[in-house]
Order: sequence, then C-alpha cells, then structure tokens
Amino acid sequence: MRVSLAQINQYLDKKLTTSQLEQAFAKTEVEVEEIIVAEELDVKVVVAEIVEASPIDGSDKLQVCRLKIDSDSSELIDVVCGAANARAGIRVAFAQAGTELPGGFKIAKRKIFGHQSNGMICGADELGLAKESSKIMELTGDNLILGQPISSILEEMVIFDLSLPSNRWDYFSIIGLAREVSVHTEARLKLPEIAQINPTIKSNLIRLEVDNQAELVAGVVLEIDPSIKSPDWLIESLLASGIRSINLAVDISNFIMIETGQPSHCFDYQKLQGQVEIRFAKPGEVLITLDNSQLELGDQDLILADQSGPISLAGVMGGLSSAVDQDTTQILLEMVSWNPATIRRQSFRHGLRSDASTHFEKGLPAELISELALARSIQIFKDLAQAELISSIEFDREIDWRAGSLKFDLTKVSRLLGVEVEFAQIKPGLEKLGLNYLKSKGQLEIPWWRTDLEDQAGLAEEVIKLVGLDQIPIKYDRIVNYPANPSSQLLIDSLGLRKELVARGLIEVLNYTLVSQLDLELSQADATEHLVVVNPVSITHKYFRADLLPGILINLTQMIRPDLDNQELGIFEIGNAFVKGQEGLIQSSKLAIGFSGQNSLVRAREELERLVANTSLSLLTKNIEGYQPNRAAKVVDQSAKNQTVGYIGQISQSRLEKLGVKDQEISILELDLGYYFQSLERDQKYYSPYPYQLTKRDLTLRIYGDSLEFAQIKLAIEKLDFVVDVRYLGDYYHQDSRALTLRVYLDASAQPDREIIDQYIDKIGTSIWEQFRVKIE
Amino acid sequence: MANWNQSIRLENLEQILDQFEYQLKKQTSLEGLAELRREYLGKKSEINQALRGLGNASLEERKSYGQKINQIKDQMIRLAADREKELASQTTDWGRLDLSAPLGKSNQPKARLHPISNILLEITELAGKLGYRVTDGPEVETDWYNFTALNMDEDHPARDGWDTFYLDQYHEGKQMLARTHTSPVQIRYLENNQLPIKVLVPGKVYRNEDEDSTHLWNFYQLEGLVVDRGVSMADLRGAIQSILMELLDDQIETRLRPSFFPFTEPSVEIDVKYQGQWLELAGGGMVHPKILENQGIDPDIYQGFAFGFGLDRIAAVKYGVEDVRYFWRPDYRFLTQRFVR
Repeated sequence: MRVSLAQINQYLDKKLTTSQLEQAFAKTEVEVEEIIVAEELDVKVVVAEIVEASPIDGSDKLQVCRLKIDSDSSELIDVVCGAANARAGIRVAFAQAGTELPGGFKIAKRKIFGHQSNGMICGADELGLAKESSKIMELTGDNLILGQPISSILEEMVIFDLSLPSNRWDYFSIIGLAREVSVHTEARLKLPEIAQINPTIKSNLIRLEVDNQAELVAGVVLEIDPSIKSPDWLIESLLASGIRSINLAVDISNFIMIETGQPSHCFDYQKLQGQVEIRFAKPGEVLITLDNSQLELGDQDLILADQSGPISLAGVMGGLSSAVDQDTTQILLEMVSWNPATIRRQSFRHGLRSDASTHFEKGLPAELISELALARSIQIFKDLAQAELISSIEFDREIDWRAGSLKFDLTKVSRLLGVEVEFAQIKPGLEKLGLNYLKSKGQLEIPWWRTDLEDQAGLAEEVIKLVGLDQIPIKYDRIVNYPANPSSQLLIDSLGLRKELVARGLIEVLNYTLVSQLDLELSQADATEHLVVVNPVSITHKYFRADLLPGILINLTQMIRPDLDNQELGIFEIGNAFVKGQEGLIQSSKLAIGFSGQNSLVRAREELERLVANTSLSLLTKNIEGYQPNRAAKVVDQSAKNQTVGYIGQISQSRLEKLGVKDQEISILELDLGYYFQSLERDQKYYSPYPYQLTKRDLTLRIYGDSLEFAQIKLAIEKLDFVVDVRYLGDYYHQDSRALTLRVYLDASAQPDREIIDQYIDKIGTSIWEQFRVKIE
Repeated sequence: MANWNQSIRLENLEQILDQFEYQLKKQTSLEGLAELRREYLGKKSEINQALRGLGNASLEERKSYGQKINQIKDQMIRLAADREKELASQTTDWGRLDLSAPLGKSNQPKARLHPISNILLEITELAGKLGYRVTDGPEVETDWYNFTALNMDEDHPARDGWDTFYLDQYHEGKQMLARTHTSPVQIRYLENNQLPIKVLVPGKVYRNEDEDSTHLWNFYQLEGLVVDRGVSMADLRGAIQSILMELLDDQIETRLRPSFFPFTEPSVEIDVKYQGQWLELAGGGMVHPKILENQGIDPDIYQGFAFGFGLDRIAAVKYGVEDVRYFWRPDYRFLTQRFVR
C-alpha cells in the first residue's frame, strides 16, 4: 500500500517529518519498502497567485497570467501559460526565470506570441511529481505563503510504499496507520468530525438471500449533482495511493476505502431494475464487469443482482450496466461486511484481484460500517457532491457495538517476552491504541478495530512494540535436558558421506530439483509416473526429478572445458528425488557420482567398490538404454532378493553426441542412500586382526554363457568359513566361454599344510560346481 | 695379569655397544666414522682386549663368555656398516628439483565441498554444541502441513506471502505442493516427539517466483524450534545470536523488528550486523499458542520459539558471493575454490 506523509499527517494533531514517520513505522510490523521523494526542487520555484488571466489574441489556448509572489508588494509578473485550468484566484507553483527544473530544464525570460513571459507556471510533471499532466498544479491549503519555495511544501508529498501484515485489516487504511504511528510519536490521532447516522433496520434496497455471507448489509440512495468534478485534493490523495480518478462518486467511494479501510460500491440507482438482492449466481449467468470483461458465473459465485440479472460480483467488482457515469443523479451506495473467505475464493476463481477484494479478504468487522465508514461516506458525499439522502439509511440488522475484552496478566506477558515490563511504561501507548485497562477485571478492552487480538500472545506483541524490541536481552542457550528425541540419521550420515567423497577427490555440485521433460528422458528411475508442477516457472522446470543422473550428466558436459584442460573430472551430488509409485509419492535420498575422461568406468566402479565393500550390495551387469552395450549394471541388494538400489554405467556415445559432447567418456553411478546406509548398518561386521598368515591360491574357472558373474561366485565362495576374501584377477573371453581367474585367500590356521589347502580348494570346487555347474580348470 | 672377568664385565661391554651406537648416530662424516671404528673396534679397543683376556679364563668360561662377546662385536661391526651406507647415500646428489612446482598432475581436479554443504555441516556441528537435535522432512508437502496447520487455513490471505508450486499429486483430496518453507517440520516434529523439544531443521524449500541475484526458486532454509517451560523472546534472541555467531563470526550483533507470521506471536524480523553492515537475515517469534494447543500442549505451561533463515543467503554473505544462482549452476571454477569454514 502507498501512502503519503501528508495523508498520515492529516489524521495527527502534530505534523511529522519524513524521518519521524519512517522511525515510527520501524517500531511496528509495517515494513517500509521504499520512500519515494520528489526530486529536490530549485528554491526559485515558489508559491504564486494568479491575479489576472487574459487570453492572447490569435491563440486558442495561451493566456497571459499576472502573478503575485509577495503579498506585501503590488508588483505583478507576467507569464504566458497554455494550461486550460489557469485562471485568476488560484495558487500555483511558479518557476521564476533562472530556475533549473528536474531533468535539467532551464527557465529563461522569453517572448511568446509577442508577450514577455518571465518564467513558467508548472504542472506536476514538470516538478517531477507525476509522469504526465496537461494541467498546471493548483495548490490548496490554508497556510500557503506567497513566495514560499515549493520544496518546503512538497515534503509532505513524500510517498511511503508499505508492505503490510495480512492479519491487520486496519493497517490497510490511513486512519489505522495513523493510529499506530501516533503510538510511537508525540502526536495523537485526530479523527474527522463525523455526524451521527440513524440507520433503519430494513432491507428494501438490498435484500440478503443467503446465510453466513455478510455480517452487515447497508444501503442508502443519494441524489448527487452530476456536474461537480472531483476536487484536486481528492484526485491527488487517490493518486498518492495509486488509484486514478474516475468520477466524483467513484472517487469518494475509493477515498473512503483508503481512509477507513471499508470498500463500498456505487450503483446508478436509475439503471437498476427492481430490488437488489444478494444471492449465489445461477450457472450460466454472466456479468459484464466495469472493466468490460465478461465473467461466466457459477453457483459458487456470490453476487448482487436485480431483475435484469447480476450487477456485481460481491466484494470484487461491479458491473458495467449499473455503473455511475457523468449523467448519474441518483446512486445506491452499498456497503457490506462480506465473508472474507467467499470474496477471496471468488476473486481467485475469476483471476480478478481488485483493491476491494484485498480489503475484504482480511475480514472487515461490521462496526467499521456502523461506527465509521458509512457516516463518513455520506458526509463527504454531502460536502463534495452536494448529495441529499432520498432514502433512509438501511441496515439489514442491528449492530450493537460492545468492546470485547481479554484477560491481561503483565507478569505472564513479561515472562514470555523475557523483559520485566512496568504497567506505567505502556499505559499511554495502550490507551492510544484504544486498549483500555479495566483494573477491576484485570482485562484489556479490545476495540472493534482490533479484530486481530485474540490471546495473551497477541497482547504480548503489542506490549513489546511499546517497550521496544531492543529491550529484549540476549539470553544464551541453555542445553535443555531432554528425552531422546531423535535426529535424522540419514541427514547426518549423508553429510558425513559428502566429506568422505570430497576427500576422495570428487567435486560436490547441487542441482535444481525441478527439471525438464528432456532431463527426465535421461533418467533411469522406475517411475510409474512423474510428479508434475501444475504452475511451473517455465517448461524447463516442470517436473520433479526422478533421480540425480540427468543433472550429473549435464553438469559434467558443462563443467568440462577444453580451455581449462579439465577433461578428467569427478563430481557428485546428494539430494532428494521423487517418483509417483503405486503406493503414492516416494521421496528418496540419492547419491550420484559422475566421472569424465579416460577409464571413467573403471574409476566409477572403483568408487562404487569402496562404497559397497563389506555390504550385501552387489552388481548385476545389464544392458541399459542410453549406456554403452555391456557397460552398465544394476546395483542390487543380495540380501533383499536383488532389489535394485542403484545403477552404474558408461553413457553411450550416441547419447553424449545428443548432448553435444564428442571424444569424451562419461560414466555415472547412483545409489539410493536410504538403502545404502541401511545395508551398511545391517551388514557391517568388525573383525579382529588375522592371527595367522593367509594362504593365497589363484583359480581359473571356465564359464559358459553370460548369466553368471563374478559377484555371484564371490558371494558363494565367501560363504565357506575358511575363505577370507575372493579377489578378481582377470578374464579371458573365448568364443563360447570365459576363463575367469580369481585369487582366494584362505585362513588355514597355524600350520597350513598342503593337504589341508588341497582339501579346501576341493571344497571350493564342489561348492561352485553344485551351485553353478562351473569347474575349476 | 689380573683375572679377565675382574677387569672386563659383560655389562660394561653392553654399555660400550650402546655408546658406540650413540656415537655412530652423532657422526655425520665418513672420516669420523673411520675414527670411531678405530676407537671401538681397533686392536686396542676394549672389546678386543676382552677377547684377548679370555685366554686366561677356564674352558667353560671361554665357551659361554666368548660367544657373547663375539655377538656384541658382530653387532658393532654391523651397526658401523649400516651407518656407513646411510652416510654414503646422503652424499649422493640426485640433481636439482624445483619443489615450488606442484610436481604431480597439475590439473588434477580440486575436490571441494559445496559451500552450502559447508554450512550444513557447520549446522550439524553447532547443533551438537548447543544441544539441538537435527532433522528434516519431506520436500513435497500436503497443503495441511505447509499452511493450515501453521494457522493459515485455506482462505487465509497470508498464504499470498508464499508463492507456491502446486503438484499433480493429491492427498486427501487436496493438491500437494513443493514446501515453501521448513516450518511444516515444526508440526511434524511436535506430533512425533516428547517435550521439551530443541531441534534444527535444514532443508530445501521452493518458491514460485522469478529468479534474480538474491532470489531462487529452490534454496536451503534452516528452521529452529524450541519448546520448553519458561522459554521467552530473550531465549529466541540468544539462540539466533549464538547460531549466527557459529555460522558467521563472533562479532555479529542482532537487532529485532516487529513482524508478522501467522504461526508465531509475537513475531520478529532479525537483522544482523556483519562486517559493518545490517542485513535482514532471519524471521522468528514465539510459537503461536494455537499451534501448541493443536498439539495438546498447554501454552500456559509450555512456551516455544521458532525461527528460520535462508542458508543460501548466509553462504552468499559469508563467502561474498554476489549472485546466489552460482550455487545452483555448477561451474568448475566456482565449485573448485576452497570455501573456508
């Protein structure tokens, strides 16, 4: 919300400066996003009065204006001016000859149409106060002094751009802001004098046909003079809040909204057909809105309608058919306390977020209408539009304002704040807020404008704002003596793993979680379906990643740079991946490692070996799409029916070419960390040192077919209790078979004799023959 | 001649051995070594005198002592030979070597932890020191945990403060979403644990907004939650101060400003003065009594505070990184520099 210093000052009994207002806001939850200051103006721009204005022959626009800039002198200065609103009697901003205006424009004396012009009468645009203006600025105000530099008046035109908390509807009004500001300054809130209104309880004008949608419906018909235009102060006040002027009735309605926080709507009464009712729309009904767009309404849309059909989407936007225009003489002023949820939903549903709907969705109390906004509105209509009431003021129900109250225990509040607060310290502030202390009850009175205050914590917040947050001491941590609430082991283990991998020479990367369709094609995850963002920032980030492989692959292709001579890279990422499984969404923590350069697959395999050694995780060679044939494998858990827990492989040349990579090898591996850490914990055994020397034997096995792999043979042999380790030595591939050479390490106790060793080798031979029909050569 | 074992005793010879070994080590030239040999192993050396003295001993004595004396002598000869080799090798010149050059493969990848990981590791370490548990939660959340349970029911305008990615996955009829903050873990942790509670939650969060040098649509956040008897805003301030002292440095100052979050009351923004500049770094407040009540906790007995801040921002401030997008767009030069803790 935007508000000018002048607007705030208007509701305070002492005028604040820009910095005083800024400091006051700093003590509240109002955040000043920006202070928009008019460019420093040359002091030669002064307040002047047009004494005389006479048209110039031969020009349809230009006039010679005679200006007075000193009330004690009779001297008049001639200036030629082309603005339509230049006329005798008004006060204007006059740039004297020699002035430099914002943007570097220099004013000099010159002749125009044969008349001497000794300066310029300025429009708001020329003073840097507005982007465009065809008129000269008319200065209003009681204490203008002729000859006074404009810059001294303009200070009040400083605009504060504010970010406001959504729980405080009252902050979205100048009165609400001024009240809060008064608490933190010497000033007191000065409300405009408002004549009382006497509403009648009836619903002749607007009938509420639905339950729970409004806390108060008010209506009144006013007769106005359509020829009266909005005064400049009104237009400027709206402009300061970023609202443009439409016509007097609409401007008044908008002014009431920014002043009090209560939106209202003006219908052209004579355009209405019969009584107005508040109801849900019927499917198929259509509303043409004020901004001339067509809304298809449904049965969830709360509307105002007359005999002709919908005339307004409640709380959001009015309809074109009943809009006030330059000929309107009678208006139906409608003011309602709408159900905030309904308004928010329908403004979202139709993608229409108006100033009114953002006020209503915060929840406005009925008292805002009955105690302030309606009376104020009628009064301004009377003052500015010479309005007369031609109906009674209708309320659909009695609003009986009784202040609420909340128990107030300052000792408890002090304890929560960690600051010892004395009541005397906060009493004046509480009173300015309208929170009067009822000593006998130990309660604080809660006025209607503080609907946000519901409990002790809310009161504590008010107290600490009054005391100042800088009073809160720094109390250093005490270690809470707590029961064993757990930490996330996976989180801690995976952080430890990161350190380990860096120590191995790998560079850590982080990738975005959201990826493109193309990235997903590189993925290996068994996703029944991918998780899709329905409102993505862009199509390149539409899906949740199903694994980390695509990221790592693309990172490598981008990190390798010929100009850096860094072809041999090793990188890794640890992060979460997401798939829609049959039993719903699955988030899993994964590790992906990528190697580029020579022997990338061997390096990847070594890294994997280091990770999975002494676990039941093993590998099964498998041809996988996207990888070189015979250069990919699944990582499986042998103790869980070969459940897949990862992949390893060398990326196929054709896929690399698609990614624009030539003459480069890339191999990657991925592990599901949940499984991995589980298997580490489950399978880890701790051994004592070997008491005796081990005996080594090399064995060559002849294997036919390609289903049997080293890992299976190793697992089988290591089950024999005298076998300590089985290592891979090499392979020789024949046409129809493979000669696999292993080295077995045997624990043959203190006295290994030949006979025992031979027996052991026989046992190994028998075991693998029985399991795999494979012979030792 | 006196009886040999009156003048020479075995203990003496062992002492001579020790002394010889010591002298050898001290000797740094081959000349000096020759000198030592003459002194300890020459004709007039004590060991040779002892051997000669054996001539007067009985046959049995000659047998047992002779063997031992000879063992000692052999050992001395061996020690001298070893030392000679050592001294000889030290004087061999292998030619010049420039150790100011890295000498290995100079373009080997310089492995480093990601700066965000640095911060995450620091968090787990400081958690241990300050008595926090560390946990995390799902990145894909239900509407209920992300908003409703945090005092933002479906039509609460405060929801506008979090630009949200919605997903094509539903939970109990409601669209799931990419969590916009780590605060849902407050609720999850309260549900599953006993009081008192003291926990830190680092994790990835998502915001559907345009990226620039200070905004990302996915980033790391740190959430803190402490619930116990007699917890106050002074504890909140102390907690933030101590955590940021660990993450940044001991010289920081904190400043609180009033703020609004639906799930804390009172709520504050926390500014931090680091290296002479005030930075808006964190938000927090006392856990809203409604949230405690919803978990069956009596806010008259237990109070709590919660806070949160962006870790990418902390890393950017700490390492002087001008654009937070660098963290998420892997680049060789950026990621191979050492981010000092």
